[in-house]
This record gives sequence, C-alpha cells and structure tokens, in this order.
Amino acid sequence: MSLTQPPSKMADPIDQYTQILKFCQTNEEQKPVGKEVRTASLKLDLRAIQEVEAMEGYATEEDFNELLFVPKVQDFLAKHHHDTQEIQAFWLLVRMRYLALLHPSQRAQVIQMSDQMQCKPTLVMGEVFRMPKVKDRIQLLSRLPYREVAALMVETEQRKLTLQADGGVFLSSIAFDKENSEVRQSARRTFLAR
Amino acid sequence: MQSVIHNLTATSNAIDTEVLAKHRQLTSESEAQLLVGHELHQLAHTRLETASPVVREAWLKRLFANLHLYHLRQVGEAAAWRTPQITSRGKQEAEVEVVDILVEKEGWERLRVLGSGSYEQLIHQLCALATMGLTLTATSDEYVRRFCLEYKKFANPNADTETEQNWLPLLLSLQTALKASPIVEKASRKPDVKTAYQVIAQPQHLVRRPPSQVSRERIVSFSAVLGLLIVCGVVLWGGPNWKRNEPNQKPTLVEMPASPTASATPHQLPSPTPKSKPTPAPPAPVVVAQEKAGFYVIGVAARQEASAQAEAQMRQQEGLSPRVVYSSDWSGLTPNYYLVVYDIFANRADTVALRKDLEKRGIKTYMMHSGKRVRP
Repeated sequence: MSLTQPPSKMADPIDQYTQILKFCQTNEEQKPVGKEVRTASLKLDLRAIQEVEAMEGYATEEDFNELLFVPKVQDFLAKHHHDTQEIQAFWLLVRMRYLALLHPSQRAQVIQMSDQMQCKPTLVMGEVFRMPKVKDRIQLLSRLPYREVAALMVETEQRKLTLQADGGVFLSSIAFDKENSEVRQSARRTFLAR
Repeated sequence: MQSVIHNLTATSNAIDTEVLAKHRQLTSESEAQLLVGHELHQLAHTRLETASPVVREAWLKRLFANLHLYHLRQVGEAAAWRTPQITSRGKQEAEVEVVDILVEKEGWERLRVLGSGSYEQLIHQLCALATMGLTLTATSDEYVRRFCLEYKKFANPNADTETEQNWLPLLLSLQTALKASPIVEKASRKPDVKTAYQVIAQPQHLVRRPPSQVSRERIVSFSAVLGLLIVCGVVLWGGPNWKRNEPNQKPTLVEMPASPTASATPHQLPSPTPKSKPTPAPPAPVVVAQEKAGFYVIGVAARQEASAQAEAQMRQQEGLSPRVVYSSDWSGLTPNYYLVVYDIFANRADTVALRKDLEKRGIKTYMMHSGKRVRP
C-alpha cells in the first residue's frame, strides 16, 4: 500500500500505547523542560517528517515496518550504553515508522502533543519492561518525544539494562536501588499493578 | 526577492568577512552599540512597501550584517565560530531550524536568532517561512502544523514564483520586530553616526530620516543664517564703537561664532559695551583640511559639517588637534560625511597608540584607510 493513500486502521494517534503513557505523565512535580531540550526534540520530529516525506511515493507500509528491524535498531536494543547520536538515530527510525502511518494532520497533532508531554522516566521504564514483546516496547518508545527517550536511556544505563531485558531483570534492578526509594517503589507499584 | 538565492554562498561569505572585519575594528562595546543601534534605527525606518526587490534585498543584507555584528559582540569571535555552519543539507536543515526562531516569544529575540547564523542560513530560513506563507509573528505550533500539512510545497519546483508575494509581509514583520527592539528605541535618542559597511552600504535615498530630525535640521540651518546676519550687523554697526572704546583689543576671527549652531544663541555674542567683561573667546573654526592619504583615526562622522566642527572645537579645547575632513574627497571613505580626524598615519600599526590614548580620554575612535583622493 502506498502511503499517499488514506492511512490504515492502526494509524490512530490515540492508540493503546499513548493511553499507557498517560499513566507516566507528570504535571507540577517535575521542573519544566528547558527550552533548548524541547526545541531539539521538536526539530528531530520535523527531521522525521522530512525523512518520511522523502520516502513517500515509493515506500509502502511494509517498508516502514521494516525500519524496526534494521541493524541500527536491533543493535541499539542489545546495547547497555548509547551515545547521543545513537539514541537520535534509533528514535528517528522508530518515530518515522510511527509518523509514516498517520495522516499529515494527525502528524501535526502528535508532534504538538509530544511537545507538551512530560513523563517520569522511571514510570516509563516500568511500562516498557512490563511489555513482554520487544516490538511493543519499540512502539511505546515511538510515541514518546525524543527528550523523554533520551532521559529513559539514561535511567536504563544507570541500571545496566538493555531494552531487550526481561521484566524480572528490571524488577531486580530496582530492588537494589537503595539511593532512591521513592523511584523504586513507584516503579514497582506501576509494574505490579498491571 | 528570488535573486537572493543567486550566488548565495559567495554573498554570505563576503558579508561574514566584512562583519568580522568590522567587529575587529571596533574598540569598545559602547562604540559597537552606538553603531549597530544607528544602523538598525535607519533600517527600521526604511520604506519597504514601495521599495524595489533590489532595495529590499540590500535592506535584508544590511539587517543581517548588523544583527550578526551584534551577535559577535555578545558571544565573542571564538564562540561564533563554534556555531554550526551551513552544511550540504543546507536548505532542509534550515526548514527545521526555523523552529529555533519561532520558539522565542519576543520579536527582538527572534531577530537575534536570525543574526546568529550565516546569511545563507537566514535566507533559507526566511525562504521556508515564505514557502509556508508565514511571517516572523507565527508561532512554532503554526509552523509545525503547516510543515506537516503542506510539506509538498518545499519540493515544488515553482515554489519560488508562487511564494514571491509572501516576501513583503515577511520583511515587514522583520521590520516591525526591529522597531520594537530596545536597541532601536535607544538609538533614536543618539546622535548621527557614520554607516558601518562599505560592501553592503545602503544608498542614501533608501534612508528615510525621521521627520523630527529633518525639521530639526531646518531649524538649525535657519538659526545659523539668522545668527550670521546678527553677527555681521553687530560687527558692522558696533565694531567701530567697540574699537574706539577698547583700543587694545583687536577684532579677530575669534569673535566670530565658531559654528552656525553656536550663533543661534545671541546672548553668547561678545557685548559691544565697554564696561562688560570680554567673554572667553571660542576656539577658531576648524577648517575642512586638505589632507594626505593614509589610515585615518576618526572620532565622529556627521552628516552636518556644523556637528563635526562643534565636536572638533570641543576636542581642541581639551588640548587635542583634530581636523575636519569631508569624506567624499576620498575613495576609501563612505561619502557625504564630515569626519573628525585625529591623525593620519602611513601604517595601520601606528594608529594603535593614538587610539588607546584617545580611548583613555573617553573618546571613541575607529580607523579607516582613506584610499585615493578623488577631488582636488
């Protein structure tokens, strides 16, 4: 199917993944996101649109689905440490796949929603590792703005986790998080409550 | 405005070089602020609505040059070099970087962001805004929405022609932001200063002076003529009596008003009555000198000769010996200015000591090579 045609049924900006992320959002607790960080995130979204537009006309839905299986993404999932460029490249690919399936007006809506979104990384981490399938985890990450994914990767690196890690590994990692009991309890509660 | 794209990289490099040279030439922050403020003030009052595309392009170049100079003064040369320059993705990169401008709330802040990159970046960013039919007042949300909905416009080969009509509103929005900027408001209270640039100097007919300035000049000219007539009358009528009563005092040129401006206040004239004390003689008028070529150490550049003369005389009273030079006589100087020149040197390096000395006295100077004499 060419992407110039109307988007498929699965292309809904408010899907199960965005619903999950609502549980991870914070309001006044966290300090406001810096302008530079927010702008960088917004610019990467526009980069993703540029890439999608460049592929449109010849790429099909399957082509975009394949973006999740390119070596760059798979290597990223298996690694403990990621530099900024690697995180950007990974996020750009998964975000492209997400945005490509949306109608242009929905893309604008998603980008604007992401710009306002502010999550607690530990809660996002709990939701990510609660999912048994790695593909679902990627889908969830693609609904997040870049800055939130970058913050999440800092958390996973601190706990020496990969994005492929099992839920149990995640639980044991937070069990030994003695420095921040609030974070630990919050993440465990999220994980067990679902 | 489509001509802005032609030879864009070369033009951009030329402007960067000139701005950098100007930045290095400026010795103090106050001098830089005065210069940039004056330039931006002129740009804020240029009539763009009726201007030709060529004039608009010149306006845009001059705007960028001044914004970039302001940026250089703020962050320093080293930091400016670290700013990522245009890459092969130039146009596409700029389409995204428009967000950097639009996340700023104030118009002046947005202009500052525009001045922080290269001229090439600025043109690409403005092209992106024009393609989307937006101006500098747009929000980042609005840009994102159009970016997503109308992205195809960027790839449209006829986009340049189709967006031509969007350029004027865009330039006017830049000008509106400029007018509201603190630096322009401050500059409107400052005296006349020489234009900063040679390559991108704006033709004189582009500058629309504020009506208050024009009327002020007319009043000064009228007062000058009136003052001269009164002085002539006093000398002719009262001169002989005065001479009779004060036999030891010779009427000299010193008794003449130093400048037309000074003559506008009759109470400053020497009294012809013998009982009154002779007022301290004003310094002799500084004659427009026939000077040699070389590196000129210039203090003030004024449109009005009277202003330059007044400044020169004031400095003479401080023990300095400046002279007034008319810039149109020299090929290297921007024409139609009366320059207060402190000295002329054969070598650039020789100017440093004098400039430092003058700066210690609180006198801001800049240095330019005169070029060849074009008029005898």
